[in-house]
Amino acid sequence: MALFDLIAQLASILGLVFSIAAFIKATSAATAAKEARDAVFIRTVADEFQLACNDMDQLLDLITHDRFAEAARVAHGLTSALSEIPYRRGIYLSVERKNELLDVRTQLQIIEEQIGRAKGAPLTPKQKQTLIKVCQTSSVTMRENLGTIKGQVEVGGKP
Amino acid sequence: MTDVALKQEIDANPLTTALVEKTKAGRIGWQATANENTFIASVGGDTTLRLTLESVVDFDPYGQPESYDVPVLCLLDSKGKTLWEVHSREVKGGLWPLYKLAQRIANKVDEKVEALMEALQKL
Repeated sequence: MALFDLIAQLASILGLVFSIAAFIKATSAATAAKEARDAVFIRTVADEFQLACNDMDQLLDLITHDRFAEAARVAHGLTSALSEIPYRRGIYLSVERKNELLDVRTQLQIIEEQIGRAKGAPLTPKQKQTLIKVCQTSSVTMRENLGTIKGQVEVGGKP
Repeated sequence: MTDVALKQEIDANPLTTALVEKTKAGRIGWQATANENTFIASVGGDTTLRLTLESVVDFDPYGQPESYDVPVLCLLDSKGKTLWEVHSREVKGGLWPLYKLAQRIANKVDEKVEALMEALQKL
């Protein structure tokens, strides 16, 4: 009887050990899955940013060559994209980065307004230079953000 | 919020006072825009401040219309929608002090004056 009790106790202890081991494994698997998902999300954010940066370069080019109708269309698309990214990817963006994106988005809205005014009266060289300067500054801000996000991808997608 | 609070107009003074203080402390990064009379700054990751000049038409003592510019502060949400528009007349002392500060920061006037002074000293 004493031997049976001993075996039962050992079995209980072994059961407990296996349960703890299984719990640890499950926790680490869940963590690994979350990290993998985060990495995929960060890569997607980087891809979306890359597209937005390309659009910003295109906008700059269109303004430089006085193609304002197309520039307005690109600016509108870019404004929409920049409105969407913080909503969909907000948890992966710091407050500072969100502020920068909001700034760029508002800059684009103002660019759109200025281009809209150009339909009534052509832009003066000074106004055009201002548009180009703002586009360049916004492009740099977006490239800096893209660099930071790509850096996150390289270190394993840590948000 | 109580019914009493909703029946009153929102007081813009605490907000503008805080904005002036934080701007003076260099905590708000005002930026120049494609419109030389408009300056923007985003705060807290979900609000953008847009400070611009609005043309107002008034009548002089002789009944002649005259137009002049006054600053307007707009609070935009993260979707770009205007949440609140604060007019200069709603603020004690007006919005000109905030506008001038934003203009000074956005146009980097201090840095440019400093660089000019250095250049002048070398002459």
